[in-house]
Amino acid sequence: MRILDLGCRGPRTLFVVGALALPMNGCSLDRLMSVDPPTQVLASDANNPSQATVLVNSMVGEFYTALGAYVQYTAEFTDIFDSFSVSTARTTIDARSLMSGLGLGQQDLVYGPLQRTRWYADDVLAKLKTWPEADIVGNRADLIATAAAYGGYATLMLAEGFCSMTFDGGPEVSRTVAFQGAIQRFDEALASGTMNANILNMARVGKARTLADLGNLTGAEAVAAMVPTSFSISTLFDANRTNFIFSATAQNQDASLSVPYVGRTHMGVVDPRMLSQSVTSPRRTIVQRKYTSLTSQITIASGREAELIIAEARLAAGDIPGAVAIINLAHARAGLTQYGGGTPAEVRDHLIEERRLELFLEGQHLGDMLRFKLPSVPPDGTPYVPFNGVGGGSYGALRCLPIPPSEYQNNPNFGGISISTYTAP
Amino acid sequence: MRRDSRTDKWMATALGLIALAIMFAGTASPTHAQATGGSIAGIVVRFGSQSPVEGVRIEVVNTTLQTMTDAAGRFRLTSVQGDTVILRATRIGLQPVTQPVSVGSTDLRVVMQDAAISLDQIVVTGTSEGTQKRALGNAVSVLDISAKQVVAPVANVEQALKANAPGVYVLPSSGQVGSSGRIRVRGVSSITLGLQPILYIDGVRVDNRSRSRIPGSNQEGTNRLGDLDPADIESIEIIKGPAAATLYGTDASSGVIQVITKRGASGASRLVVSASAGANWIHDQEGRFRTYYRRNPDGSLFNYHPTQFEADRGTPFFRTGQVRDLDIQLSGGTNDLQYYVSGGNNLHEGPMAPNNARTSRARANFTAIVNSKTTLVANAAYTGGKTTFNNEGFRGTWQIYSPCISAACWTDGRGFAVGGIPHDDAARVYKDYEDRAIFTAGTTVTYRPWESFTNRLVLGFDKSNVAFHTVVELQTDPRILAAFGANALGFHSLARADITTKTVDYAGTYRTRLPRQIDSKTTIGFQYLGSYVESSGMTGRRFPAPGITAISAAADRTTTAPSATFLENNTVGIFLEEELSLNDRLFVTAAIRMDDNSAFGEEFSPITYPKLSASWVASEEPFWRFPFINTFKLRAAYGQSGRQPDNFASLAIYSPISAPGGVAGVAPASLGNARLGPERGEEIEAGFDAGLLDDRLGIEFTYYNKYTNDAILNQTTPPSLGYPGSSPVNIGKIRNTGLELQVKGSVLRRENLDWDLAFTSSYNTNRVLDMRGIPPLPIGPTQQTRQGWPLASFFGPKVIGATVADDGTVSNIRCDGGRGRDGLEPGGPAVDCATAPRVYLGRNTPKWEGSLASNVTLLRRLELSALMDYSIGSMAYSYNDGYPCDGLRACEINVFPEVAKANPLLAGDIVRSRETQVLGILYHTDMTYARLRQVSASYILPDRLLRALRASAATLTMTARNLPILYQRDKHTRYDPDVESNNGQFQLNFFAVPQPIQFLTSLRLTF
Repeated sequence: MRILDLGCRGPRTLFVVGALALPMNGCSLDRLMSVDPPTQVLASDANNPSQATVLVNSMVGEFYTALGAYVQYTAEFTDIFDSFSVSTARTTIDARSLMSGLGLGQQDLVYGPLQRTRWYADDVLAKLKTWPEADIVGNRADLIATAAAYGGYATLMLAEGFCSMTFDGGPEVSRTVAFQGAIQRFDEALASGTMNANILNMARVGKARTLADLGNLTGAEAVAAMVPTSFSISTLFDANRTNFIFSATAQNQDASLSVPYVGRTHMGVVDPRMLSQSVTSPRRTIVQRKYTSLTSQITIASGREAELIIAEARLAAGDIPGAVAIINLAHARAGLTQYGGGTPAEVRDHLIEERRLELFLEGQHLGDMLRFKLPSVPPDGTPYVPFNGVGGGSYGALRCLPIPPSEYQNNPNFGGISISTYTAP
Repeated sequence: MRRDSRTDKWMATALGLIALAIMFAGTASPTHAQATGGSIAGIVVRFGSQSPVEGVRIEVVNTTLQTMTDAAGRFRLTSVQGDTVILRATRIGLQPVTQPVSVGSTDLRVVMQDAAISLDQIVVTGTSEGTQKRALGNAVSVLDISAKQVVAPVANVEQALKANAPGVYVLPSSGQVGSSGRIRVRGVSSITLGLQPILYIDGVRVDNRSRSRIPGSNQEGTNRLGDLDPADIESIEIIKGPAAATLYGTDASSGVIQVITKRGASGASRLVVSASAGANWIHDQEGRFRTYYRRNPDGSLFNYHPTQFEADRGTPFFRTGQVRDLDIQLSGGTNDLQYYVSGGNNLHEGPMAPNNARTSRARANFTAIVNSKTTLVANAAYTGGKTTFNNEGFRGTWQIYSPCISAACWTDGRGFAVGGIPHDDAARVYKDYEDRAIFTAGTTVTYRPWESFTNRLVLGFDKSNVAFHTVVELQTDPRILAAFGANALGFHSLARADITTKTVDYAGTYRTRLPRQIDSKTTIGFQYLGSYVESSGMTGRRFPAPGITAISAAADRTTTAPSATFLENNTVGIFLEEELSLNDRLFVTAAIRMDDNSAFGEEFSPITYPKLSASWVASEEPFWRFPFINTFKLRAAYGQSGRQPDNFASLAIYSPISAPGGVAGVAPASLGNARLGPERGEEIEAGFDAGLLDDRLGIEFTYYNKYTNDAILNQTTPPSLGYPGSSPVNIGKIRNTGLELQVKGSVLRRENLDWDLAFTSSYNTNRVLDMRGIPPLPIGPTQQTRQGWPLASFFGPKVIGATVADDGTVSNIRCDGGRGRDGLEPGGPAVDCATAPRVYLGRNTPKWEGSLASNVTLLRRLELSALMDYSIGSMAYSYNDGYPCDGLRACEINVFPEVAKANPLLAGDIVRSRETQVLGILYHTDMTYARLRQVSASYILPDRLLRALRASAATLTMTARNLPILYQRDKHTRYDPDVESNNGQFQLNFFAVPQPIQFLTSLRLTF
């Protein structure tokens, strides 16, 4: 039986058909070799002026995540929280015993999100400055101001929290250099021409905070004075991007409020700015009550903070009554009795305490400890009580977060750790 | 998206090659002619036993006429032209027979002799017409599956591969039926990419990746090898390394498995019906599993053997699973059209409820002689089925390997406590299963415009639709509700994967005679391979009523967000191969293949793989003067092939995110690497094939030295560059060296008694030569890929001294301080365990492995075979051994001081482990073992029974597989060295079901 008798032309016909079919297929070789991931976006496609607003908005969202991580982990590092996590990374942060070379990437919990936000902001800022304005979807000045302000804040938090750092795969730089980088970004936001008052005030508060970190309180006061007391800018957590401090404390109970922060009072009255609650189930912890849900917002910058910077500057200038008056503005808002003042040293201590209360869990305390040279609590060498068998040893002497192995082991321009001290700077 | 002019060059080059082939084809003058002629028929029998031989290819030399012998060894060719023709009979494992035959002879008796070494055997090599083994410079393992299925049937292809090919390491992931395992060819050759060899079925590439395991379970899952019915397979060829796989290009450096299915034979239709029945069970449960102990407050001892306890109360963990197979094959045809159609239905029950695999298969293979120059082979196969797993781990074997023995757990009288999940409830309530429908089709056109020029075009298509389900109906029993929590309110998780692979493979071979008796064989080829994977997932929770499981009926479909993704990968390649032979004894082959792949980085140029091999059949030289060595071939080969990077790994990518306000956003996700290329396997191998004592003893020996250059490592992206995670970079280098030996011998060859022995052994060393300073990569709890050491080795503190007092108290625990390379080689001074290094404990693949097979044929009808295999030098992480003694402290060694005194190192390691929280030797097991893998008896039924059955041939076979382990070096372990739960580098036994013994009785009838 012959099932396919094409005669003498059959084979040739077959191959002619094949010869035609293959070039047709060949014409699509470009397509064959250029396969895009359908569920993700090529960086080259994302970086388009038509996406400018999306990029800036996305970067802001990433900042919220980074801020939540920074607040939580620096609170554990500065012993606002005790870690109840079985994660070694969390335990070593809590015990101030982070070491280089552990390879666990503990510091990535903070460093990574901040660096990614900082890079994202810088990257989109650079593109906004080169894209033709007509091609940009969105208000260019607003977008530039937003990218610069949030990039400035990410840089500021890196500088406040880390002993040293690097930018864009470059060499290691000091905190001072990083602070200057933050100021440069805030200035860019202020010079952008935006009419968005929130972003302008955010940049002003950020710049004032940075100048204070650099010891330039006169400059800080000048900038902070431009910020209205009522100003406040916060995160915008929602069901998709949530408040990490709430989930880490109230929800997962991975961290408990340290005893010194429980039941703080002023002249016998419980301070409403630092409320807490003891719970016993599923484990015995003390839960912070500032953030009461996954969508509780974290303040990024505020007129309250600007006031306290001014108070600090007044104090440094010898204007004790001026400083006390500002402190009492905060007391009035909190419903507390007025503070009567005292010696410059006493007022300074009270101002530091006021910052601890007013800016509780807003990511300020690690910077304050370094700026005001506050002692670590508990003292270095205090035995560290393990939780569920994780942890142990004693509290370390770190005062700032060291640059993580993920950076110094993989950054070819990183010539070895030279600036980091890993102890009190 | 990326693209540059190189694609145009590619296209031009490929089209040029095709045009060249077409031009050759076009110049051919058609000579096809219809003709009638005479017939040739006869029977093929085996020398010695005179038993009929099935599956012998009978061809008339220099024509397209060919057929295969049937189950009774008979064949018939019609339309044979001329008075006398040359008839050639070939079959794997038998010496070819070539003899002149008068046309019209219908009672030929062709006697074929076992060939320990068969140099004239044709193997698939990527060229258009295959290659004789004599011309190969490399070793290729060829397994005669159709013959094995008659005398020692296997349930799946992995069983057929295990212990039968030197250098091929097969380790199942579980004793559950339907689960697949890991296959490693010549060691482990990649740090980050897949390690399984690629798979071709009748020239069509199919996707052999492990299909996703059921969420939450430990099972390995399934793969395409497991979908194949061994009854449909003629043979399997394994191309082992880059030296041999050059023509297969990118992705072939871990080896190539070629499955060749059966084809029809001209002659009367033959119907073969095979029916099997059998059982799977776990042998020696008392010894295989541990007894747990607890000291009560009053000092009395509580002991608990989970499987024994549950069996005694009527709720056994294990059962005897049934096996029922039915396969029907119909074949036959004319000289112009031969067909093979088959269907099968299998039910295999595993040893642990509800595990079972139900499979239905159908296959149709057609071979058409279109005209005297053109042959068309068409194959189509469908497999549908459902495999239900016991969800190992927390809902299955947990209570065996890690039971709760505290008094609090025994409030229900059986150790599950309130809130616990009894295994029998879990097996009834949870339904974890895979549904699959797989279709493979291929067409191979062979066109020979003239005798010296052969073109072959393969067009293939393979599609798998697979869905994994985990289903829990709404439960109403308060006890179940309490134990199963939220899932008892109804749960259905569905993950689907549609995988499509396309093959276009052209090769044209031109033969010519050059001066000085040199024959030339030139082959050009073009190949396109496309792979498309579309996957999606969704979950529903809380059903309104029992019996409703549709996700659309669930009250909650959002807690787990639905997912969908699509992956595409394309490869185009061209190759040129030149084979020169002198007097059909000396062969030199050179080839080059050039590939581009859509996973390569934009800045990476197409890659070129070279190959050079030589073989010399010295025994056919006139000067050969060693009569006891009648066949001797020296061979050597050098070659390269590759392993493609993961899809999209080279691309800088942003991922979708939810931006503030719930609007769509994007964020940097992966930096990629525009210069990313494939891993380049490079291998040199050399060896010899020798037939001694009139080919009664055959030896194949091979040495190989294989490098993986440009091995891909994931280098962490510095956070300051803005992207999270890591980027793949081609910076690693790995070396595998080894030896392979296969010895086959005919011990006795008498008229009524044949006895054959076969021995295989392979040796492998592995080392990561270069990681460019990347720190050791941790894998699982105790494995590391570390420069200078075997890939994915085990490291841990090693207790080398401890003192156990009469009351069991352990003191003076000392650990190995390490020495030599990196200070991590064991054998160093004794040091305090708190400061001891994590020394090298072992590697994750065997150093030595092999088998010994014996086959005896009695009275031409009874064939007895046995297979023993062994594995030496592999280590595994064993939670099953560590946790009961360390975490639970419920082993004999924990409660009986005399046991601790007898095992001071383990007793010391338990204390050390508790103090330092670092896992040591207690959590590791030496997987060295020897096992009687299979015994079988096969009986050819006598003629009087055949007449009663109206059959032309019948064979009754009884087979037992996975018989008890003969030797296991690690006496402490409860690890079954024949299973391994994970398919990647991480090697562990975490609650896996051990391999069951399988007993099978099969009856094969030919009509």
